[in-house]
Amino acid sequence: MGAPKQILHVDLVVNGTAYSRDVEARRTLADFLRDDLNLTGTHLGCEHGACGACTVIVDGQPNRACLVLAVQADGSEIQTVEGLAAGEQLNPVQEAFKKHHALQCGFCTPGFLMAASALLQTNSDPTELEVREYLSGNICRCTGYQFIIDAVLSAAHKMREPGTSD
Amino acid sequence: MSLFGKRQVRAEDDALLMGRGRFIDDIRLPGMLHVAIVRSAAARAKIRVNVEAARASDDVVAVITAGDLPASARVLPDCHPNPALPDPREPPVLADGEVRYVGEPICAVVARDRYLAEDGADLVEVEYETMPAIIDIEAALTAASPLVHTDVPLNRAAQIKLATGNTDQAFGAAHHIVRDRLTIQRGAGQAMETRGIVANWDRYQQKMVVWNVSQVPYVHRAAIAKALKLDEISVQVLNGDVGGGFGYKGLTYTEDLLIPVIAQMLEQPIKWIEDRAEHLIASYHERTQIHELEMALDANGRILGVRGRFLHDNGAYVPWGPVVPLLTAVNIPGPYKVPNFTVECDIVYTNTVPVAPVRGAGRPQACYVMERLLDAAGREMNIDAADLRRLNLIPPDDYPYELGFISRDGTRRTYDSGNVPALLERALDLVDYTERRQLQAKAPADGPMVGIGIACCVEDTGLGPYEEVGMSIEADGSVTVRMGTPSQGQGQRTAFAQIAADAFDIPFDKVRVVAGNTEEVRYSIGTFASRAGVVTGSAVHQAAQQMKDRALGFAAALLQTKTDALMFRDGAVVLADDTSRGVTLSEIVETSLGESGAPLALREFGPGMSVTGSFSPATNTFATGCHVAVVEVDLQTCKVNIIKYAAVEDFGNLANPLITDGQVLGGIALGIGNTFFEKVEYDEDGQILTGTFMDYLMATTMDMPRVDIDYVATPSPLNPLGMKGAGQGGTIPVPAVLSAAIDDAVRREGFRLRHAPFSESDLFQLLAESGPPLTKGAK
Ligand code: FES
Ligand code: FES
Repeated sequence: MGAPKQILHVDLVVNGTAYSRDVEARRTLADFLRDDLNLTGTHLGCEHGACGACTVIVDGQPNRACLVLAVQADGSEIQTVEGLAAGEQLNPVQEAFKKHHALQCGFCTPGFLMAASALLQTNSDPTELEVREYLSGNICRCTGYQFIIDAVLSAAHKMREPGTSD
Repeated sequence: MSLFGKRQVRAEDDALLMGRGRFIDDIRLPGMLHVAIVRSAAARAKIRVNVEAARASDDVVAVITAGDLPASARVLPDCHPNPALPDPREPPVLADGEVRYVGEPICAVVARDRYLAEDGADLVEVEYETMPAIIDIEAALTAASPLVHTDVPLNRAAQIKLATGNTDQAFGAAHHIVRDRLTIQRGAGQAMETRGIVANWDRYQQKMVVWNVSQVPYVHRAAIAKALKLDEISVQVLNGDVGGGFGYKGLTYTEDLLIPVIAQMLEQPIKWIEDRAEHLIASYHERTQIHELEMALDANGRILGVRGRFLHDNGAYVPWGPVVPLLTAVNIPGPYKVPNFTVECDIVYTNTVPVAPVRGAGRPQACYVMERLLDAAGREMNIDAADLRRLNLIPPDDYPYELGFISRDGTRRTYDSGNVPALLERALDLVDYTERRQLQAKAPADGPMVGIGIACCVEDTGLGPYEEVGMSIEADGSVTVRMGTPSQGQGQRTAFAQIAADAFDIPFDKVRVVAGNTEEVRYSIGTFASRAGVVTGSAVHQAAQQMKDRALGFAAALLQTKTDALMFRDGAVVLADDTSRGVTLSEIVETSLGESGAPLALREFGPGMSVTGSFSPATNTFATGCHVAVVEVDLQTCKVNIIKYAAVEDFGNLANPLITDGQVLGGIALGIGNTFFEKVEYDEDGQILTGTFMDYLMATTMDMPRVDIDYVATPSPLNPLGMKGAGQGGTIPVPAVLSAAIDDAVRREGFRLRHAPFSESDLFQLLAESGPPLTKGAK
């Protein structure tokens, strides 16, 4: 049926590993990560760019993987939630999320972690309002956000002054 | 070392934080096929479906229409029969010749992946012969209205009536009467994870294995078994990580039967993941009600009675009996003394998505109408909002308090325990109520408009009839706890582990909690109505008591002493007066299992360290809450700034306050959505206007104030741990509190909020209607 499906080739690096795959032109980056690379940590909450659950870092910038086609990511370097921890060791942002109870069901969490990581990369000492503004494009239905904001502020503090307690 | 009551960080978190959760869409089975569902584009129509082109496509494996379904799986059964709605209209699993709401499933297209399935769905042709849609519930009840179901006159699914005392007499004797028409518009659950199902027919075991996102897997097991004509034990329902429930995942949907039926037909694993577009138009909604109520008071402001009527928009079919309007009706008196009370409700069919509980479940409406009436009375009688509540709240000495009518569970509605006056005083303190009122009185007329709102509520939690818990001690002395109530993010692995760890004096990480598999325990009801913490938690306690008795028996035999000379210490049973002597739990397990081939050492105990416990509450326990908000309203922009928000809750004894804080905050976020943003809108043809997250708005980081949470505990006498449910308390009072605070800030004769939700432009409109435009106000 229908039009022939166009298959293209992509080479990209995800969490430090190089992948080389043939992919249908219409396939989203989110589906590619989840289904072709089996990196199911990236979640789909809306598939229309409005919830932030699918946020991944593409070449240093936070991006909505549901709005990007896999072929558009050809040649890029991507970080997903699976790349945050060092083995079994949570990174400071993950650690703060746990300590502050910043997740309940955990479905939105990968998107928040990636967005928060992107924020802290560009602003190591954000104010509460800056954290709120930066994360305002991510929806969480469980937590009411307060503990997410606390977690990000506390992670920022920890990352600036390792060894201090927050 | 008591873990109960500790702010224990959660056992669930590491996997979820590392992207290693296993949600429904993460399940992949060999040979798995994918389904896309063709849904109705019309609200009310006769339909003709042509699937030939789709079936002819090489990329389509199968197209299933109503006629392809076995007779046992054509209509959803009534999963929650209730005598108050005796003859419910249940949805067809696939529409058969007629559709009754936009989004109703018409046929299923099966293909190798979801992209191809959606391509195939595009090839299905549906011809609609449309008819006028029934959307407005007041019009629906008139004789002139067309009918959603031709055999249900006036579109009235049922009527509910509740009464106690002599209301008419009370109104006759009243010093003051306030009346109002108060309306609430529907919203939706919108968990960040949509629904989804994976079903696999196991030919060898002749068994249907279903993964889904259910809050009630045992209800789904029964419904699937019936549809497939299997015994219940030939159906297994599994839940992995579930991305939020909020009530709407506690219902049974047509897809819950459809997907297993297709899996059995094709003998291949089948996956269906609802996308957000489907969720927005087709997952159950809640809240639309129109209330016309009045309150009678004496000269001091004491409530003499409440009476009136409300209409409930049921949508096109009945997913869960009359539970939502019933909950509204019984919850209207709330924590106040209302000696005379009469309320009637018409439950009305419309050509809209069926209505079923969403977090709060009828109670936000109840709290809203009661508190709005009190606020009106306070204003008209010039009584301070806090004083009026102080006067009318049930005093602590009056608990247990009988309301004089029957509860949702058929028992005489009785508040088991509570002290709402204490909650109120604590919440008032948290916002410095007295000082704020003084400031307000002195505030210049051109300064910022600041107002305070108060609302108190009750929530029936810990609903019966039972939960069962299996418990075993493993070879290494760790404890496994198995249960039937699945988690949708409530942290059960943590809270229940805290309860079990305390029982044996073992560390938190020596307890493993297993749920989400109908084969772990034989019987269960499910996770809804704020019941799992209370009922399953008590069953964990119960199972632990049985296990402790068993372990004490073994230890007494091994140590040649009496059980009452023993105690649990650090993973061992030791002599109370010489704690250096004892047997470890793993030694007890070893003894209980013996050696293969040799007789058991202690035969009279039977083998192994495994028990099944259960808990069946006598009736609901009642959680209560009081929220107080201080807002600033900018009359130029109509922006509402929540300056202060205090939530004081009585959830009885708390297993883990960190988790209950999270429940309160999340509940308030939904309540804020219910106040300002969340509305499902239909046009007069029944087309849904809120089909994306750009139209259906929820609270974000920018909308949530910082909340001060505190607890006052009156332990419930109805369960061994003194717990009460915490799942919905945060949500219930929010629209009432914020509406009151805004009214109080605006303080205009003609200005009064009577509808939720309301946007900034609604506020602008209401202000314009209520008087001359104000040029003064906050900067
Ligand atoms: S799934 Fe991509 S933004 Fe919602
Ligand atoms: S934790 Fe459930 S949606 Fe955020």
